[in-house]
Amino acid sequence: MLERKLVSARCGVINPMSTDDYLAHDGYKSLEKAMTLTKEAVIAEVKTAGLRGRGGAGFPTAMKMASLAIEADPEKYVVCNADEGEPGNFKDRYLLENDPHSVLEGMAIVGYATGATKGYIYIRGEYDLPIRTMRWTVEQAGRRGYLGRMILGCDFTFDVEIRSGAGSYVCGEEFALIESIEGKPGRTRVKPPFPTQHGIFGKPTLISNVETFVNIPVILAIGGSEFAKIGTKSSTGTKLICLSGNLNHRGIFEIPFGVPIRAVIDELGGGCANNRKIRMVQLGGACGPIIPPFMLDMTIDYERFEEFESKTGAGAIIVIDDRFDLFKILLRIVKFFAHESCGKCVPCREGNAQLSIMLEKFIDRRATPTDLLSLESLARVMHQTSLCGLGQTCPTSIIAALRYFREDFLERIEYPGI
Amino acid sequence: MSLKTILSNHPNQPDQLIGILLELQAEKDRSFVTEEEAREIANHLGVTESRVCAVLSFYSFFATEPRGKHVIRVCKDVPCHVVDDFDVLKTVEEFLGVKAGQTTANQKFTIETSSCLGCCDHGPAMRIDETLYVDLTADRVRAIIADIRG
Ligand SMILES: Cc1cc2nc3c(=O)[nH]c(=O)nc-3n(C[C@H](O)[C@H](O)[C@H](O)COP(=O)(O)O)c2cc1C
Ligand code: SF4
Ligand code: FES
Repeated sequence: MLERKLVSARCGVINPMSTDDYLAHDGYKSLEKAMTLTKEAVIAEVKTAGLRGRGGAGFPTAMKMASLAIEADPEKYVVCNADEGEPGNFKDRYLLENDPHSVLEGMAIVGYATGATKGYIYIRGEYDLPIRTMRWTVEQAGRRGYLGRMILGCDFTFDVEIRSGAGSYVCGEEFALIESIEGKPGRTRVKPPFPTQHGIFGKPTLISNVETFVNIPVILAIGGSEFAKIGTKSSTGTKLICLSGNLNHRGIFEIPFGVPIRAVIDELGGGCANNRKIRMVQLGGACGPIIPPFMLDMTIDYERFEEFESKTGAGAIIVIDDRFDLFKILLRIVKFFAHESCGKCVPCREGNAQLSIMLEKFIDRRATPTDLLSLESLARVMHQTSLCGLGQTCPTSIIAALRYFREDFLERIEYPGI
Repeated sequence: MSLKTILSNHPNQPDQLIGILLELQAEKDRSFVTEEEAREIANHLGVTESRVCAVLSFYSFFATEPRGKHVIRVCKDVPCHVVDDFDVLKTVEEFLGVKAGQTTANQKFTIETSSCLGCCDHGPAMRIDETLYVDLTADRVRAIIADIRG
């Protein structure tokens, strides 16, 4: 058995639109438990668990909580990032739709431990059903006394507001998200200061991913040290994996960290569809590396993924079969970023346009050796000099392809005079 | 709901802008925002008109030109693309006789392309107004649109 259900244990088991059902499945028990502990003890538990953020960057969650907790401002915010717009990712939608209370429970625990006064859930505008579900769930939780004033009879007030995005991928980036909640275009800011110092309306703000929040009640329920035993040393716990592309079984699967990608593809995904061969696999989403089949024995964990210099966590696995041309896939990815770039900085705004032109040359077999060098250096420059994660990670697929599919590039080049 | 009612349901705070615009567009037949409306919202929230315009142009959901009564958004990203054996976009375009970015002569449909809709395990996918349609086949695409057309 590859799967291990912790975070998604209730998904498909409970009726998401029944608060009673959630309560009957140990719902809000972790919040109750947390509130018998000191704030420091809750953060210590998360630290022992070794939880790292599931939104992509893999930042230690306890550290983020501690930096919010030490801020003295009486107004502080906790934000759940449900902007999930990365092609190939749909795990947050799965959690929001199937276990909505657990997101609120995780947020309330973080709110309690950090002294936050209010929570926001920023849900991408395309997620009509999750927005409706979460609005309803917030109301229910308020009625039952799990949100609002004097939660569980204690001196702890925490409200949650749902905010809808309006069709912009970059708003998932933390400062763009803050701008968007403030009612502005989602253009990022220069950091530092970080959101935990200067976030929404200038107030200290903690931003974490949906899956990260849902891990919090799990940690309180089983204990940080039990949690840390699951997965690998550098990556504890489980990961929701989104399988898509040319597979027999696509969908969401929860596995402990440390499982090889190939096992996930073959055992959970049922292998490549229509008896075709895998040509390439993209990891993490559009901002992740593209790798050839021989690399699929690598295991899913944060440390292994760092070698791609992308901050991508291990959310998505997109399998692409041998009918598809590498360069056309790369072009489609670049077009996504060109469309979603906010235009604030030059390397990303202009770089994506240039990448498209260069890739088209490779597609038409018009590329020269100079084009190959330019492509390589432009991708590097974008990675190193872009202002936010969008521009920094958008050339990851190209950088990886240049390394692992080098012959394909060389084979497309026209050598003048030969 | 009129713009007045929508505005009265929101506190006079600049951070309400996106929510107000979303509600306003959802109420309108042609899902776009006019110059007068932008001005009224700006006055109500105490922000500049250019701020409202900046938001309108930044987010892909908003439009300042009339769209069709129904907006069809076809996903074009990789996970959908590699399982799209019949070309959803072309099927929609041929069925309605207009291209992506255009509106049908009877003002009923606008076709747009969309970034990933978050249901890649059931691609190919499209979204019409507030509804997602997944696991598409050419016949299903035509049936869905014919059904909405009435
Ligand atoms: C362009 C861009 C888009 C992002 N989109 C998301 C997103 O949709 N959801 C998310 O949780 N994090 C997203 N992130 C990462 C966030 O900036 C942030 O690191 C994350 O929400 C932190 O949560 P975590 O600590 O739980 O991982 C995005 C980052 C970038 C640069
Ligand atoms: S990297 Fe791209 S998305 Fe990020 S600030 Fe620069 S232009 Fe905007
Ligand atoms: S790529 Fe189409 S829904 Fe994700």
